[in-house]
Amino acid sequence: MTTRLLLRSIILGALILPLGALHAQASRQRVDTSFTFDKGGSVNLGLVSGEIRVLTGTGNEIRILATIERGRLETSFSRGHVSIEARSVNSRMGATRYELTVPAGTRVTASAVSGEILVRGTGAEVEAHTVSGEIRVEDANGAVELESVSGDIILTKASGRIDLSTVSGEVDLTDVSGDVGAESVSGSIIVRRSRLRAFRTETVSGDVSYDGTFSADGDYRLNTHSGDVMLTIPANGNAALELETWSGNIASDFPLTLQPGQDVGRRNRRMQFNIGTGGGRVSAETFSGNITIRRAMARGTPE
Amino acid sequence: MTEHDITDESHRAACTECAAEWTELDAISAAARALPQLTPSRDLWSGIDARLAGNANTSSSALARAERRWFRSPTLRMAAAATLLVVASSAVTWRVATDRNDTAPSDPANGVTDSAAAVLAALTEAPAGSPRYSQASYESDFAAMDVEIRAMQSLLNERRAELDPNTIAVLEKSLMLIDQAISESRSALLNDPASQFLAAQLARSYSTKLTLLRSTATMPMGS
Amino acid sequence: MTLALTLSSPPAAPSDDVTLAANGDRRAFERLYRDNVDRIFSVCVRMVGDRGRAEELTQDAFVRAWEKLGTFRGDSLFSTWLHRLAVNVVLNEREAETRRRDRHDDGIEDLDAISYGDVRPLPVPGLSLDLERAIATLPPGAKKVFVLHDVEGYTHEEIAEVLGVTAGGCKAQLHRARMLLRRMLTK
Repeated sequence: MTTRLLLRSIILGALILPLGALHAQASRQRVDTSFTFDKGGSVNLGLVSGEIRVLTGTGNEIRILATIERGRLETSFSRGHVSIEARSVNSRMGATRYELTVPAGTRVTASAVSGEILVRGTGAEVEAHTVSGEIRVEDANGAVELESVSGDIILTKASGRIDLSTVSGEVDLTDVSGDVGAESVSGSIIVRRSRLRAFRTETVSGDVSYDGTFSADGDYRLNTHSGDVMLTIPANGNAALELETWSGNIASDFPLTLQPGQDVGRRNRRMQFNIGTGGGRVSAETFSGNITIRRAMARGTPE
Repeated sequence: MTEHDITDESHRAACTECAAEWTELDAISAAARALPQLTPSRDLWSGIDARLAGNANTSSSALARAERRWFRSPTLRMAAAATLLVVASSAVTWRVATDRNDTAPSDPANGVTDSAAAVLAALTEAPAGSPRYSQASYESDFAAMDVEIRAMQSLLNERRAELDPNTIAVLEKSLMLIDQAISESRSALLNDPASQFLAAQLARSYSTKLTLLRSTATMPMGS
Repeated sequence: MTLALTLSSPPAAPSDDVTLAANGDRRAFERLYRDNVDRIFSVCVRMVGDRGRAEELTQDAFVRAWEKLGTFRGDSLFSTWLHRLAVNVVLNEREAETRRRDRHDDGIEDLDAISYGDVRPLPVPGLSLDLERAIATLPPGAKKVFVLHDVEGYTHEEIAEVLGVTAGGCKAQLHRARMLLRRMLTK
């Protein structure tokens, strides 16, 4: 940055800033700073191409390192809110990188076109959008909303109200609890070691698999056109299953007892039966995909 | 000084002071009754419509998210194709750039969500005992959606030059998958027109297709 | 086992939008929305004082109405039922229902932005805008009772039921509200 530009931004800064306040707004190509950040603060990050990494520290400081190869960063910092956006200069914008360490409890919103997004350890709300970058979130709580077009979405250790959407990326959830809504066109949706109370999922050709517990007042609705559905239910689990497929196959480790009047021979197959004492409603519907119900071993899961 | 109970009618009959005061208070009531209706500063319907699809229809709630998705970040908002959409307060108003005005209703997004989600809701969530959604109704809704789909597809064509070829490839492959699903459901439905299950599957595929097309319209340039 | 659809002839076309909407027709519900939105918005904005919040509550009310359409029995006008539902939505609003947008709510009511729909002639010309401002500054309990009774026309019994107070307490609040308003308006 030239001296003149630096001087100009200092002067501008002085005009804008009340003395001693942290309300800083600036425009530059590199930011390297840290300051005290309020608990429960929020961070809003946007770039076109590059990488966003948000990690969590133990103190009450926020540390920010942001760079852009061509173009400029527009930043706005205050004790409770940080925002960093990438802007082109003379229609040019280069690779951008944001690396933040934030206090636990910070709410994060991150958007990228072809950038990878990582948010780890915040234990708070996370919202992330990409077109082709991968989204990886570990340890989130509350409202979680992750969307991509072709990027994979990997969520580990989260609880709350979770909404996931992709076109062709893979959606991978491990150790998640709460309510999950997940949709894709061709990406698979895989849920492992989780305790969901509600799970609504819709794909066109992506496979869906859920391996976890089923809550007695839970509501599980899986729908796919041609993807396969696999449900792994604990051996001593309870669930009220409703399975329907137009031309796929239904297979189950648990005994299938048809309802009176049901006929497996018809073109479409529909089965309704309880596992254990029944309970949470589990509905799986496909057009041509297969539906498989597996019984989990007492410890761990069958692989 | 005796207690003046202004709310007591018989007291007011005897006390001119209180009667006068009561008249004034009454005037305020009358003025209140005549206050005009107020109007919201913007049209609230699109926000309501997006929520009506509810939790069961993830595709349509994805519509609400698609609208918000790229506008979280000012960077990406600016990169969005300005000629293709106009942002009005917190709702996205769609302008479909086609030549034929008859295929581009002023608010195509809502018209479409209406059809897809209404069909789906009627097929899967109709209250017990209510008359079933008739086949004639959903046929015409699907026809309306076809019109919309064609308009949205021409939009995608216009954006070809601005989007990354890899993204275009993903979108086109996905659209092909969805079209295949639509065609399979339709064939099955021809043989089994009474199947609510098939009609619901078809409605879902339509909804997914429309959501996908719509999100490509708002995708930032260079995506 | 597939579910049969009524195919033979279309059902005697349900002539009212409420029935259509209850069966999932969102265009019908949109017509109901257009007919009622101003009235619902008016009560919301007068009860909470903040225009932005009132717009959100209006949306919440219509979404709730859609969800509960199946319970509307037709023993009152739809608009009356909807209005009561909206009032309940306003009363039940909890701050814990967090919105992403930062809300700047330090009690400043957005009165200057209140726009007037069709203005009907008033018994006291010129009183209208001052009255809106004055209502907005009433303490919450008095404001609710005044808006529901004098602006919206609820009876004491209806208000008592909705607010969970006694009819007598409601009358007292109403009187207090009117007295406060009179004092404010005659300054």
